[in-house]
Amino acid sequence: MKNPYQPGSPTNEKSGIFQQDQSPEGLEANSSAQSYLYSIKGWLRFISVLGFISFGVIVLYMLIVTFFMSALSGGGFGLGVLFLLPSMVMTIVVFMLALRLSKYSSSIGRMQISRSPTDLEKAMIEQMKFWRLTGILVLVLLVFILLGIVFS
Amino acid sequence: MMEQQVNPYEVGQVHQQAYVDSSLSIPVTPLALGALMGTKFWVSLVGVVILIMGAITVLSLLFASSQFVGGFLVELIIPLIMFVINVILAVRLVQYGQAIGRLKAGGTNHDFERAMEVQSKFWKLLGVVYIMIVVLMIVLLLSAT
Repeated sequence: MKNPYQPGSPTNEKSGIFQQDQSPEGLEANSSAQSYLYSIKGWLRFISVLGFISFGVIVLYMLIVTFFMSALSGGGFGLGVLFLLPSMVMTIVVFMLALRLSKYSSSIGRMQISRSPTDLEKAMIEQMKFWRLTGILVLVLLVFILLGIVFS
Repeated sequence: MMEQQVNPYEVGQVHQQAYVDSSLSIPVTPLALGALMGTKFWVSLVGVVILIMGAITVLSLLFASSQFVGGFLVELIIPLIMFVINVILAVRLVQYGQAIGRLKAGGTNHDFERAMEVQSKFWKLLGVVYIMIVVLMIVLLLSAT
């Protein structure tokens, strides 16, 4: 028979549902760290709303330009759409960045209410996704700049 | 020189150390920590690129402004203000990356706190910058009409 009190045997705290919440080496977000996170919630929401507004403005601009381009090319939408392809990519990226920030803000808000490690987890994942997307965007931008320098 | 003595039992004497209530702490799970670690590279990359791009922009603007005698304020001061803000934002991002790095190397709760502090400073500054941009855009729109 297995002795549950023997050293090294799994206890309630280290098994099952507790294992997921167990922090590595007891790392914790103390009240001070939490207050820093809560303080940026509003700013993140504000910046994401600006992102969504920018997205709307760019889409509106694209629709107007596409309409005029198609009118100039004799009714077909092909030339207009081709011309606006880079803008469409940028629009999607702006929307994705705003969405990530919005989700990050929401996760912090949920964490503030629930005080759950899972919500902290979600917040950290959302901010990682935001920075990864921003980083990839920056790398793509650098490649384009380098190509521009090489071919100019 | 006599050392200044503080009586800890005196009425109204506040303890100098920051008070952190451990009962309010939220455990940082391995998944949350992993996500934060995954941020380090990207944050540092963006910070360094902002610094380099800012320096290039200012150099090019300085070169361009040397050819204009008039419009000194617009040609030089505004780009310089923009450059300073860019540098502060970039430094905050690099600091955030460094704080995550310390956390990676067996960090403590204080390192996590430091990372969140730097992050909050970055977002607040960015928010203020965006407010300024929005106000400027509104002013320009109103002045144009």
